[in-house]
Order: sequence, then structure tokens, then C-alpha cells
Amino acid sequence: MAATAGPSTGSGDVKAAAVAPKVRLQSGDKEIFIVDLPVAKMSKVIKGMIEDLAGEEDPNWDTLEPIPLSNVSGPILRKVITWMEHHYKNDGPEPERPEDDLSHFTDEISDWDEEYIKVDQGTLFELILASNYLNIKKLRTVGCKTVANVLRKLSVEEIREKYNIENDFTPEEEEAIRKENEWCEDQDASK
Amino acid sequence: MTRRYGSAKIHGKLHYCQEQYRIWKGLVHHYSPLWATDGFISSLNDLPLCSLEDILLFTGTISQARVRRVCRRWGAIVSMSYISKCLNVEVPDIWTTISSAKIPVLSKGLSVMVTEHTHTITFIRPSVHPSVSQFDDEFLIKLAGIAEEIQVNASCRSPWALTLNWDDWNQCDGFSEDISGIRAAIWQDIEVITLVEIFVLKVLRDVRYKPKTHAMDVVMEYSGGGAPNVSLITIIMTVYTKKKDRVHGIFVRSLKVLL
Repeated sequence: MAATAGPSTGSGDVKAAAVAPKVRLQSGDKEIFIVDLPVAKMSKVIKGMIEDLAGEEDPNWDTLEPIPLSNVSGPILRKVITWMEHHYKNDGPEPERPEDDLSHFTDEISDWDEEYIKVDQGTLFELILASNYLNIKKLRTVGCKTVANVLRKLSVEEIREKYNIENDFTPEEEEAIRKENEWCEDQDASK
Repeated sequence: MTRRYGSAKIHGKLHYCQEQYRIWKGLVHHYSPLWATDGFISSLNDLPLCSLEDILLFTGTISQARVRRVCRRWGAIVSMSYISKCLNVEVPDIWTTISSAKIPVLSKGLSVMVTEHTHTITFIRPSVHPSVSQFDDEFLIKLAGIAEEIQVNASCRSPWALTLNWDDWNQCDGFSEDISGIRAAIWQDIEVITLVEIFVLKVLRDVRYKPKTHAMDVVMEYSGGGAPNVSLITIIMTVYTKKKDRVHGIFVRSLKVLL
């Protein structure tokens, strides 16, 4: 398949774009995206792949094989790259955090992210999957928080229906759990 | 030959179309069993566990109590996440969220989740400050039935410490029964002593404890946890090798308790 340009090839709006080398990313459906190297490295998986491909010497980026991202479709990868480019431009590289750093649990979703994530449910799930696969923690957090915000507004029955989840509790078990949590069910009476 | 080639070609095309469909939906199920969803996600339960964990955790303390009623899996995830992630980092938030009258209910809810968590665990329990005065005669008699030596110390650093020296731990399988007297006397609820039991049994398993060749003692210390409403219970378990008369290993676990 012929190489195609990515959604943005960094024509000056990305930090250090003028000198940044570019890498090619190949989606599962063989679409090629050309992305600035520092932007692509926001994905820890891509960063690892680049380091593996490049070795210790500074490689010729133009001749490197496209990096295969088989588990991500073209449309989703395009959207992920849009997210990475925006956040690289505005926030810089994601700081290294230890695995058990839970500070992101209290982060609010920014206005831009809120607008970005206004997609149908299937796309939202695929973005979560893609960010999980590509190891982009911040994007995954945005996706997960968006789903969580929907869950907050739904009753148990509505959640099961909307997200196709089978109720495998016996009525007795469900009642027991409800009683265990009645202290906050009171506060949650509207659900 | 031609027919076989044609058949293979058609089969290949069909396979290609199926794969394209799955790719288009953002998934290729043969790459990862976790994503085996027949080409698309129809249920939140099809998401990887770590993502589902995050989603349920992000719903917040109050909503978690509701979403754990959705299905067994969600119940387990909320419970485990609650203990392993949430409580250790957001205790003040939880503490200010719920009223003291609700704590016993929550405590009961939490108690079922700790069986696989033997690392440091924070949990909430009814407000019971154990003190040396609670080591009454009945309690000591009960302990005398299961331990050769009982030592109760109190100091400024540690409000109390309880040491039991056993020579024969043949009865370790019945530990919970024997220890129930301690529970009644000190804790008045089952969570703490269940954790102690889990920890002790885990150590016994790990060291392949044999009563004929090993001996052990258990020390439980109760002290301040760095905040007025937090206490720290430290369980120190020492296993000895009888023949060589030396310490085989010392195992320590700490439990934070919200009072």
C-alpha cells in the first residue's frame, strides 16, 4: 500500500518540528502515518520499538521500516496521533512516573480532551484499547474517566443494558451486596 | 490444481475480508486473547482488565458501591482495587466522605476481599481502641490453652504488644478457632484477626513449616499510625529451625487501621 501522509506532519506547530526526524507508523490495515519522532515517543510502546529499531547509533530515519502497530486500525491511529500532537505541543513529553503513581486519579479532563473524546461508544472503547496497547497512560485515563462519568449517571440496570453485561448474581447475593452498601446507596438514591 | 488454487484463493479472500472487518473495528482478535471479542467490543467486560479497573475506580467511592452490584466481576474488581489502590492513597477523602455510623457496614463489605492481599492493607473498622486492660483473665486463660508462654507488654512507644511462643504448631490449621478468643477480647470484629491468620498461614506455607523441625512465635504490636485516626498493627512472625537452633526467617506485615 502506498504511503500516505498522516493527519499532521508537523509543519511548524510542534516543538522542535523543524529539526525533528520523522518516523512512519503502520496501522493494522496497512495505512502509513508520518509522525514527528518526539510525538511518536509519547507512546511508550512506540518509543521502545524505535529504540529497538534504531540501536545505539543515530539511524537514517527515512530508510527505517515503518513501525507496525497491528492492533490499531487506521482511523483510530489517526485519532491517537491527533491527541499526541496536541498534547506534545501544549504539554511536552509525558513525564516519567512510577507505575504506582496514582496522582492521575485526581486529574480533571481538560476542555480540549473533553471535546476530543466526544465520540460514539465503539470509538471510545477502541481509543481505550489503543491507548492501552500503545501505553499512553494519559490518553487511557481520559478514555476511562469518560466512561466512568457515564457510569456515575446510570442505575445498575441501565449500566447492564447499555454495556451489555449479564447479571450473574443471584437475587439473594445482589440483595446482600445492596445491604452492605446501603450507607452510600442512601446518598446515591437518585440512581 | 486449478480448482484447489481457486478454492484457496476464495478462502484467502474471505479470510482477508474478515480480517479487514476486524481491523476496521479496531481489533484483531488473534493478536491477543484478551481482545477476542469477535471483532468488536459489545460489552465493557471485553476491555482489558487494567482499563476496566481504572474505569470502575474513576467512578469514585460512592458510585463504586453501586457499580459493584452490576456483576460478580465488577464486584471483585471494585473490591480489590479499593483495597490495593484506593485506600492507601485516598484515606482522608474516604474518611471525610462517610459518616462514622456507616463505617461498620463498609468494614464488613471490605472484609471479604482480603484473602489474596497479604501486603500492607489499610481498611476501616469500628472504633475500638484496644488496651492492656482488655487482657482480662478470661482472655489470658484462653491464650494459655494454645500457647506455652504469654507476654503482654505496654510502653509509650507501643500501646501494647502481644507475644505468643508456641513450641508445637500442630494446631495451626485451627488457628482461627483458637484465636477467636483474642478476637472477642481485643478486636470485636473479624477483619484484623482474619488478616493475621492469612498472613500466618501464608508464612507457614512459604517456609514449608513442619512442627517436628520448626518452631515459631508471633508478635503483634499495636502503635500509632502517624495520624489521630490511624493505628498500625505490626505482625512479626519468627520461624526457628529446631535442630540447628537458629532463626530460619523473620516475616513482618503491617496493617493500617482506621479507628
